[in-house]
Amino acid sequence: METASAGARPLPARPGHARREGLKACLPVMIGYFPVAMTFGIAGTAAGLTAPQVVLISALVYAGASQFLLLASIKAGTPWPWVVALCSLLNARHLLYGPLLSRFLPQALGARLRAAFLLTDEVFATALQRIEAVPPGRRQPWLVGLGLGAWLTWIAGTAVGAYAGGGLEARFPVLAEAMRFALPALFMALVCQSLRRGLWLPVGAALAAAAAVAAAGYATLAILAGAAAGCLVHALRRRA
Amino acid sequence: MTGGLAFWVAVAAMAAITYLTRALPFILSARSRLLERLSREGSALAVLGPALLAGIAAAVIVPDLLPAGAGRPLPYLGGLAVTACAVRRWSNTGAAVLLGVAGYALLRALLLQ
Repeated sequence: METASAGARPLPARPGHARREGLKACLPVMIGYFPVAMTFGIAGTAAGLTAPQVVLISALVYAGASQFLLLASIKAGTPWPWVVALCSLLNARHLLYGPLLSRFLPQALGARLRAAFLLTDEVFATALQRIEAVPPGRRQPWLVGLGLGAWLTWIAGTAVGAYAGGGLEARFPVLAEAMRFALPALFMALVCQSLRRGLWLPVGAALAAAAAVAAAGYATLAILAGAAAGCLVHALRRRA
Repeated sequence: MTGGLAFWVAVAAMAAITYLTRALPFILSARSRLLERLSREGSALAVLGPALLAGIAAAVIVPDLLPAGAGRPLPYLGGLAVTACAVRRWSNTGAAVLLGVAGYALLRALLLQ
């Protein structure tokens, strides 16, 4: 698997350095996460949760789509079993991340299970792009640095939103509005970086299929439809 | 509806399910033939990562472009174009995101005054 960072400098040998390099690689994710987490903090307190409750949810669940689903369910009065079932569907895509990353990680199960908690969409995407450039012995600490940076940013953003978000939005509405664009921009950048020779058609098919399903109002299904369409087009091209 | 036992049981269940969906492939990967096939270099599923990314991107972006979404397609599309050009030019995701956000804010100020 080629990466956009194929020309990256080799990492220093010590695990501490690898963790710091992972943290540096996390910077784009942090920029994307903070405003979204802040939005969750603001919306959580507006939904009737206390600020410590909102922060605790971000720390424990650590899945943006599921957390926003939780808030929508509070507002709509959706029964909790339904909320949990929907959360399972939302998270089904995570099952595909492990197989793609597992060949880059050490075999020790404990280390893999610790890394698994940190494996969000964005951490997975960044790791998939860059982990191949990391020396094999340093991949675990690199991934932990990347994942911890994202997790702590998510918690910090939630806390800022829950405790001070209302005041910030009132004082700097233009900045707050612009920062909401960070997440779409992050995904646009990641898609562009994943494009390489031979992948334009499958990725184009994935975008088209996912866009059609998302436009019909099924955002979660759109992700799975995009993945299926991309794989199908790739398989058909290989056979042709 | 918030703060009761049922609410926190649901939150705990969501946390457990989220973790399990992330951890299960690692638990199975040592023995699972299916997962081995999924992760094999050069397999038809090698495109899965980029395709998933494209799917997530569409799921995030498209609802914002619909009339019921953010309702400001020109600055939004402009911001995405700035992001794409920046990341293709410099291969730096963080810088591209910041430039994209700045481009979006600028276009929004210019077009929606």
